[in-house]
Amino acid sequence: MSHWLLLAASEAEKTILQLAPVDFVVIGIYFVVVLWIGFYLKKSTETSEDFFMAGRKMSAWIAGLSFISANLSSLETMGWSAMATQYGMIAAHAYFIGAIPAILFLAVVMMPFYYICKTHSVPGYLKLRYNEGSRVLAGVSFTFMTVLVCGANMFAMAKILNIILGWPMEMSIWVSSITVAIYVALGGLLSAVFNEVVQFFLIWLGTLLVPILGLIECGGWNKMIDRINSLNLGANFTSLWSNLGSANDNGMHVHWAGLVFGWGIAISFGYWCTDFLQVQRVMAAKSLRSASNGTIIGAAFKMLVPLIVTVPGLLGLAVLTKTMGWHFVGEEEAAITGQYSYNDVLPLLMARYLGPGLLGLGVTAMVAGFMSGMAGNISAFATVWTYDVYRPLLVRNAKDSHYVAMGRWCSIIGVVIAIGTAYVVMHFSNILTFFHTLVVLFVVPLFGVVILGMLWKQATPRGGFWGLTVGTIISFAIFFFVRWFPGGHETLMLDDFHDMPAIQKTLVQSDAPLAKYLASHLSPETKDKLKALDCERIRQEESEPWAKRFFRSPDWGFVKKIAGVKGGLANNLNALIEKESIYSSERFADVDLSEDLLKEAQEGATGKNLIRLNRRLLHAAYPAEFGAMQKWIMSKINPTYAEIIATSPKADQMGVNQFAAFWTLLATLGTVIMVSLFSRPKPDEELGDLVYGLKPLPDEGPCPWYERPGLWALAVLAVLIAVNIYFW
Amino acid sequence: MEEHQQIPLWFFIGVLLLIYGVMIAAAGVYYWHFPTQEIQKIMASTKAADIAQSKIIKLHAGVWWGALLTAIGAIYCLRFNPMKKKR
Repeated sequence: MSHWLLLAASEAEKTILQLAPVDFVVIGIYFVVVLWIGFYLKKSTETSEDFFMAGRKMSAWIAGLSFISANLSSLETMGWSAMATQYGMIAAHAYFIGAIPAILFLAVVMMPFYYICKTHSVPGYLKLRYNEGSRVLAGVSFTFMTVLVCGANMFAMAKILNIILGWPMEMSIWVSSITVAIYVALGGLLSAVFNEVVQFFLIWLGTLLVPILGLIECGGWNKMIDRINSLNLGANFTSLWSNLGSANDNGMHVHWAGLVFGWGIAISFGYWCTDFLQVQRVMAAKSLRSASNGTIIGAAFKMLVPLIVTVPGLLGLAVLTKTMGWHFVGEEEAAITGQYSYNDVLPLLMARYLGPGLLGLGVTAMVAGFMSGMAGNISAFATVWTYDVYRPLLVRNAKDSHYVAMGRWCSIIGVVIAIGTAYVVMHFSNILTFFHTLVVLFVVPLFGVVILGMLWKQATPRGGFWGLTVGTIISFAIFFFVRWFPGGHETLMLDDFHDMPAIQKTLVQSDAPLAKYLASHLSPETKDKLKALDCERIRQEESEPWAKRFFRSPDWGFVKKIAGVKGGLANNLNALIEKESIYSSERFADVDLSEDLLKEAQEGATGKNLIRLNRRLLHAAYPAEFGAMQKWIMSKINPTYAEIIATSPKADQMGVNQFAAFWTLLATLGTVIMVSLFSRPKPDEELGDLVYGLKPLPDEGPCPWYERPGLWALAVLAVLIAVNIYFW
Repeated sequence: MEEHQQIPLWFFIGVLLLIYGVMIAAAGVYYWHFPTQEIQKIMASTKAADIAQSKIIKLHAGVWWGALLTAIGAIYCLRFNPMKKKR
């Protein structure tokens, strides 16, 4: 396999990382070991309890490391390093506010109920606490979400490995997915958990050298901070809280209220406390104490993650400076201009600090991170599908071995669906934000229903079902609302340039008055790029069957070239349509305009109406080349509606998601409470192990002080507060 | 978990780290004595960025990081050796 990889790498035009033979051997060994683990564990997974819950015999350490690794994917390390370079230290809130409090809450408050009711899944808890309807609704939405997230992970891995190493996307997708399908189908949750713990070690040992060597190069932490502060970045990049007073005061455009209530409570508690992918790992612990301690171990290690994520991001600012010849831009601009994007910071630092062998370990950590993320989703998908959808709805009373077989088949089918999803995800602008969007859409309403069910015995089955339904509807409604442009999106975007070969013909070769007029407003650089564009290749690719086009992995170099041309056209033509009317009777002599449009064009317009008029004229003259104004755009946020939802017109997808989560949570809680007030609750005797305060928690006997969950939860909380105050 | 499995998870991790440690340390020693063309170029460069990077290269992180992995791997292999448990 190494030889194959070498060939693949050598075909790449320009890659960030160049691997030596020893690096390929390091990567190859990882694949051998994970498959070895899968085959070895098959004999330990004979019953459904073994396959889906790892026999409920994991120690606190294994449960905790697996719990934290299931989330520590390479999307996270690269994405949040990029955020730290782009926005500074506030990116560390992904951990401090966005994870630790919720994990501690799970350990101390929620875990006892999940554990003692002996449910197999979070939807299973809903069945016990509310009714079958809530369980099936949550089960269906969860299975849908897991394959989407798994597909997102798979696509992200393939794209990243293609860009930084030059590996073909098909190879990354198929090698990783077949490996994951084999080891999860063989060993179930146990195999996924084992590999997650292996990945934990790899990701730390493969990435930790980057901050260590970076800090050595800077001369220590204080000197790194001094370097960043001397860069005149226009904002405070080295504080956690002092620039969050207004969404306009920081580059991320987040407000402290959105951060605390939206991200810190709704998204974070939803994700960490009710996303079954996470909770499944600690529910499989051998005792309640192990489950709680495992969760707290996870929280402690989560607090250390900024060392390998945020610090490299800050090093990107301190070491890869403009004076040294480095300049980073956003993903969209990078696609157009060919510059490095913020997402390239971590791979660039790896290339700078890691030599042969070490680089192989770093790349292995990256691959392992993606694969364990996929495996986590697939094992959770298999569990929820089998227990919460297949068993209650389709085959109720089959033998245990039937459900184990279903779980194994689900692991394979889940991977196949995820591969298809990977190609769908390709059309989303930012995968990390896409993931947050999914959490808001599916998990936040679930959290609202579960937390009320655990803490309030008056919450009724009807309340739970309708809370979940209304919460999900509200979250989807906000998702569509903020992306809606009732009058159409005025300025031209890359997606508005439809037929590039026709555009090339029009703007480069045509003698028509309108075409010549438009071409005269293009910059020489845009004209040259448009002329040089290989339109024959575009036509050839477009003539391929739909399925072949859909599953063909893009040549990112060519995609960037097309985006570059479109970006130039958008800039030049937007400048024109904002400035003057493109209409004149001579230019539009051959164009068949509707009566209304002709009248408007003759009357003229100003401001946004002028841009709209010009867009309609462009579309009327060249319907195949220039698209009509779009009214709903997946990748764009309408500033007017962003202000309504997220307090600032500048709020981007991340900022909107935070507030959307908060409103969704409020709607869910409100619905559960209102419906519960007018419907009948379950009797107390049915809720004993499910609701806080009805029955004392089981006594697991005496234990030494260092095994007490409450003590360690307080210790982690104290350190969290101290860190936030220190970096205020 | 470990008491229910013939081979504890920690032993798998020990084996993996031991193999990686030896390989990375060996690669570090090899490239110390036979640096790649790219490393030679950086070491000979007078550009500020390359001078800063050459200081890091001189630390030969691969050698001592490989040694650290070897040590951790060896400890895990010995501590969680399944043969030892059987005896």
